[in-house]
Amino acid sequence: MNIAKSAITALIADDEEGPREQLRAALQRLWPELQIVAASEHGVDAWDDFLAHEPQVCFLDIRMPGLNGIEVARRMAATASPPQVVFVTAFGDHALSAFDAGAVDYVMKPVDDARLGQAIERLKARLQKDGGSGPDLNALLKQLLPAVAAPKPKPIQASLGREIKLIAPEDVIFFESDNRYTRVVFDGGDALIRTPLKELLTTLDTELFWQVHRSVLVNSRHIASAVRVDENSMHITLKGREEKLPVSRQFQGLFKGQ
Amino acid sequence: MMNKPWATLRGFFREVDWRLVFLLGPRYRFTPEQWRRLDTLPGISPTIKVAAVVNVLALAVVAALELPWPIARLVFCGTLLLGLVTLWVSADLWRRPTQKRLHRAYGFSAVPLGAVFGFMMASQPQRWLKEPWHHELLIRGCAIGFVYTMAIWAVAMWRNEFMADWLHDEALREQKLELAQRLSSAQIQPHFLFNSLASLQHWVAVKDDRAAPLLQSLTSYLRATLPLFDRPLLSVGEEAEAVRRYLEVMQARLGGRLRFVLDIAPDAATAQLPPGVLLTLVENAVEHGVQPQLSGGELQLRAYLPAEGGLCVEVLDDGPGPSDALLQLPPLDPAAMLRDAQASLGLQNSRLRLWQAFGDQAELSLSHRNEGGCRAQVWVRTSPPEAQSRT
Repeated sequence: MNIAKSAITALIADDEEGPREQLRAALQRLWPELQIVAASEHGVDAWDDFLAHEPQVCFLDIRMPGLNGIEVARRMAATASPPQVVFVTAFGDHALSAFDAGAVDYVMKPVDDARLGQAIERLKARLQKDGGSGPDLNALLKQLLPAVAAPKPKPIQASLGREIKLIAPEDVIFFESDNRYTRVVFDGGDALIRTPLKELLTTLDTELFWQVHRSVLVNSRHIASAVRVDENSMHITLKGREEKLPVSRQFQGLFKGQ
Repeated sequence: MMNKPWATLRGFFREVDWRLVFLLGPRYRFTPEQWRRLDTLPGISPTIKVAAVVNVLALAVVAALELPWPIARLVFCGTLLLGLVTLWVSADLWRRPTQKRLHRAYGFSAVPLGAVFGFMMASQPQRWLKEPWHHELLIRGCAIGFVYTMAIWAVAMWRNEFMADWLHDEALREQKLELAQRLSSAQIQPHFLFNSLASLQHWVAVKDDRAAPLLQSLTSYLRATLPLFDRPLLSVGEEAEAVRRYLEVMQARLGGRLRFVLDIAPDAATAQLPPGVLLTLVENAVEHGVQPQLSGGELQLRAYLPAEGGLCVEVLDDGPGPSDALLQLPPLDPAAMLRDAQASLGLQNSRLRLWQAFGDQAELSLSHRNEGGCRAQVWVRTSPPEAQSRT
């Protein structure tokens, strides 16, 4: 997609087609200059599409499969270029009262033009003021998100020829997406699995597995060092291994140095 | 005719509770069921226990003050002992302020009087008025007996009134809560309604053909649901209709992500359940079993009459399965559930309503399915008494 440099880019995410398309139509009507670069069908796609397109504005539904809207927003807020987030939610959502405090913008479904117009005005003002970098929402988002018990990590099943190998997640050194497959590198070798990397993301312990690139998820215990190559690029080296894994700009904040 | 004043007088005395006039006992009698509920009241706090013992000690010191030494020791020990027995009796009355126990307690408080008189009679009766401390002892014995009797009486009377008030308040609160429950369960989930309207609005605006069937299903759902809660019990078949409409709306919204099968055996369709139970289980299965799956899922509702009798309803999904907390639902404790705000949780609410309709003959449980996903099961062992309605 070819986007003029000055255009503001946006992502919309809703797991239901009706509300998603309704929002898209309303945005096109009220903010014709806005370039909608992605319309994601669930939280996992929303996160992946965000990494792929780096939109400046994200309209996120709250209840979505995979990752909910608040989880996606938290991940976005931790990257190098956090977007402006507007939550799109239905009446009766538990988070609604928290939004009323005013720190995060939200619109209610079905979206009405007057309310969306207000949100757009605020977005424009904020985008102009600080050139697109969002406010630090992390604390608020943490508050919004009720503590979710981490899912029990299931062993990863990888077929090696006729054998199906069960790999405990903590034994994995890194995951890397490889076209339609995901390459799993573990102590005893490597294998290809069908589960896309972006879906693995939601089932793994985020403390242990760090996403350093849209297509790389690495076990933090195996990271030896992060090396800055130049202004924009960085890579990490692994303990006792040759591979160098790229760290994309979005995630370079993980390695700050003291 | 002398009838009128006589009638007035008779009216006055008719209002007098003679049992209370002569027996000096508490007013209210409680049923075993009420006692069971009263047992959930908190016990006596340690602070009050210590304060009571300190008071008894002080009273014993006062009772023995300025008496000749060996007598003083005797009076101190006697008063203290009696005081502690009175406390023990009072604690018993605190828990069970009944007529019978109060009368038994009166017996204890008469002991000091008897002890003093006995002591007087045993020593030389002709001397007891000459010794000034003998006279003093008599008065103190009477006073202590009076204080202990009053204390016991006050505890029993107050506690009895308190318990009656508490039961009354609880009953009121339960009524209110039930009303609120009825309203909240009858209420259509606003989240559901507005999300459906969002799809509808868009499809109408772009003249999509999906608008008309969605509107039709939504209307049928509302029509089936709104009168759902007017009755204490509803047939499985009727509620399954509401469930079908709900699933149609969700299917229109979610597209291919929701697949469902309803399998209601004809003889199970006429069985009765409290309204809203099936709908709650199905809503839960859609929300926690189907919607969280990236590629959607399948839901099954089954109702049948098992060979061993009763009714069995199952809601199955192929989602992530129930969380550990849901697998071990706490034992059903209606009193606690009415007290806690958590009772508003859909699942607990359903359990409560099943309990209200069937007592311990009904069971709601969640489990993991072997093939993955969650099984919610309602099992009613007996058929409900048809005409029984709860108020």
